[in-house]
Amino acid sequence: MRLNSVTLLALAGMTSLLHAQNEPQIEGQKEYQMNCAACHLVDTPSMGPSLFAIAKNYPAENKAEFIAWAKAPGKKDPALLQMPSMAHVGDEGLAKIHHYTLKATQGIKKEKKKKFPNFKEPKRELPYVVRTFLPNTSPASAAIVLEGDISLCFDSEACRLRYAWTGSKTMLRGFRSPAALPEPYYQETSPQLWSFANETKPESHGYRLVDGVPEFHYSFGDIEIREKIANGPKPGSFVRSFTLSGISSPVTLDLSHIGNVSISSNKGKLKGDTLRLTASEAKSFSLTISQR
Amino acid sequence: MIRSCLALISLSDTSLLAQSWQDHYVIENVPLPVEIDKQIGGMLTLRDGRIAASFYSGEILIFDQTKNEWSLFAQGLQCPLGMVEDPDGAIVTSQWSELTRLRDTDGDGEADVYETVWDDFGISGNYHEFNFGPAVDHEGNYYVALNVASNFAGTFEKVRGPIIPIGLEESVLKGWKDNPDWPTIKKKAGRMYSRVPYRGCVMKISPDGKGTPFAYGFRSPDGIGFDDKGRLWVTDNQGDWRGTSPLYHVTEGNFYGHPASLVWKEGWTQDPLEVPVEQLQSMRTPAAALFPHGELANSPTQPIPTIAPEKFGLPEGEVLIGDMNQPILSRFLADKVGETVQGAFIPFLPFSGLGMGNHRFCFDQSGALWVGKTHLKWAGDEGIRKITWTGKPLFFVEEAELKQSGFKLRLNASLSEALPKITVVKHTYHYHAAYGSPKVNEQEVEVSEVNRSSNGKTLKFKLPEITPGYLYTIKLEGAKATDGSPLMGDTIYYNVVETK
Ligand code: HEC
Repeated sequence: MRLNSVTLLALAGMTSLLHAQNEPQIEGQKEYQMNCAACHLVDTPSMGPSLFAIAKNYPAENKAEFIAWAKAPGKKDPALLQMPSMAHVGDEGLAKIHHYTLKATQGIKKEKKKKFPNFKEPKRELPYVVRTFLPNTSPASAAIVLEGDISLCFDSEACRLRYAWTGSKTMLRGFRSPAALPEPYYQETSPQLWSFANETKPESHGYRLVDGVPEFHYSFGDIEIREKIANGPKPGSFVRSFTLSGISSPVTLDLSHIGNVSISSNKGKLKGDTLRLTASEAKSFSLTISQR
Repeated sequence: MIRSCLALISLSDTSLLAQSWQDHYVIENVPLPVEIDKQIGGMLTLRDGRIAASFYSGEILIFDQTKNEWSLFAQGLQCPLGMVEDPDGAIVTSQWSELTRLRDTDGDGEADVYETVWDDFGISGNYHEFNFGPAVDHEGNYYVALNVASNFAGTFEKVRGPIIPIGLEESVLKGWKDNPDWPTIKKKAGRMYSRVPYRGCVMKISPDGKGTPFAYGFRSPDGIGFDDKGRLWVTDNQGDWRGTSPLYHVTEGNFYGHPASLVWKEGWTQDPLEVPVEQLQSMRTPAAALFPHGELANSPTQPIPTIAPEKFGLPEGEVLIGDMNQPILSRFLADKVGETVQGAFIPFLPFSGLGMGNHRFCFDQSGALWVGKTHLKWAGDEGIRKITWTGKPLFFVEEAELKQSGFKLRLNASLSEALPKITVVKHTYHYHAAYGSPKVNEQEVEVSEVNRSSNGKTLKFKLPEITPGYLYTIKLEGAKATDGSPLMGDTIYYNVVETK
């Protein structure tokens, strides 16, 4: 099921998350809001531990340790980011913040749950195209998630399909590192797919959805290519349907690859990994790639 | 109907100040669908009156206020951090890898064309390379602000580059993860660095997709927008080369202080880290206004021009700006001194229950301000709030003008004859590679010759001297109108770039 208008209608209130931040009243509150509140909330863990948790470790008699940490923070919890030094706040300011830490947490019995828990992604209707960071491809790439546990990587910089893997998931987002994926079952290895590709730089024009099926649009100089990617007839197969314009001479595709697949073309002559097409055949043809 | 569905925010804060903001503005939560990560990257009022919201998680949803219903418009986008609407109704958004035009050609309410408008810029894979915008000018050109990279990380093995050979070696940047010495070596990259094309620039992109650097010198320019006079405003975040967070009036070809992007200037060959500060100082265009760190803002967000006063209660032609960390919006009041546009910030809706994380804004057609929130697991919040003016007039400063020997403030109603206590403090900031700056040379300035005009609508006072390069914090303690209403926003942060 796609993230569709039916689920969208199910509205959820979230009033409980709202809270007014108060005008500073307690000594040290202003300094805390200026310097620490971005990462330390009073009763809720966020970027850093809550003041409630800090107060437990730094009671009144440990004020000096509190100040020392803030000026030269160490590293305790490896899951958290490095706290930056707060030396610029000064001993006096930090002492006030320590005072506030103890005051503001008085009477709190238990910490609240982390404010923004990890988001659980909804199920999506397939095919689903998502631009994201994937391994072994340009950072400008998209994942295409098809039915039947097939996903593909399209490189929008080189304008070509890179690989296909099984183990489909749609939670591919993130910008710290490429998604961790299983080994591809099909991976193209030719330096260029198209015989005309060496002469000009490819240009990506994006994609459109034709009855929900993604069709990528790119060009090499005057040659325009539309490539539709969809599930194939058999489980574990996918079909790439090409429409080319601006072709006046024969075209060769180098389909060198790694992976245990069979490739067939509805036009031209496929010998080994080389597909030869006349100019007229190249205008519209399709490749079916099936897992063996 | 709509009202009944919007949850009214309940406030625990009963302080006088908060109460008085609530007399003027109602802040409501706009419920969102359950199945979405409620972090907002862009807000836009469409020409047909519907509200579009883009989400970090890659969706664009559209809200129809007449039906009180959200629907999905687009999905699978990578960090769409802003939107504009083309004259023909297409929505243009900037994602991590490109500027994209979204069209619904079959009229089913969902985009079916995801067209690449512009992708001729670099992506190193560094997690900090956000793309903000677009803003659009009268000729239909788009403006996108490209964030630089952070040296908390290097780059990916595969980059969309090329990596410019000025600075830390490419192999070191790429091999950072396996390098135990990265924590020390990274310093040679610069705290925030630019190694793939145009990082740190504001780019101008023609409607048919040709992009050129428009201005240089940005760090984390999360906010970009035009005001109603066609001036381009960009906010940036405190950090290296940013003593405190600035608001820039951006014009073509200028340099705005963060040196990393200088490498994208034609003919530039120097390592930005080795350029003497004096040289950078002489090249840079100063900020039009400054947000004192931790007071007004820590990470300022989108600038949005105000609308007709009868709709939202504020004068038209100002610029409102949000912040991630402070529960405050800032009104920017421009003041022109010669050719320089500089001016003042005045806090708006501070401690009003609006909360923090105020990232993206749009005014709907009835004049309510929609606020999209975000946190990225850092300081902030999530969801959408709607701020509606109750119609009750508020008393405020509507103009802050620098004079030769003092300031002249214009108010929108008569100031009581019992004058406020005026205090003025000035300070400046270091311009340096270090992260942020304390307040420098902070000193109280003597106020004299306080003069209230006979109708009470202007207040003038003199200062012994006015120092360019200083931020003047003017407090009007206890200011009231003749009818007793308090002054809403009694602190004015005026940034003196030029003197008269
Ligand atoms: C940019 C985010 C950030 C800011 C701002 C920040 N901290 Fe921290 N702080 C952290 C993180 C992250 C940790 C957890 C460090 C760890 O466990 O390795 C932490 C931990 C602490 C601890 C606990 C140390 C311990 O022994 O467990 C104290 C005390 C502390 N911070 C004080 C402060 C004070 C005081 C300020 C403001 C002056 C401040 N912090 C500002 C991120 C921040």
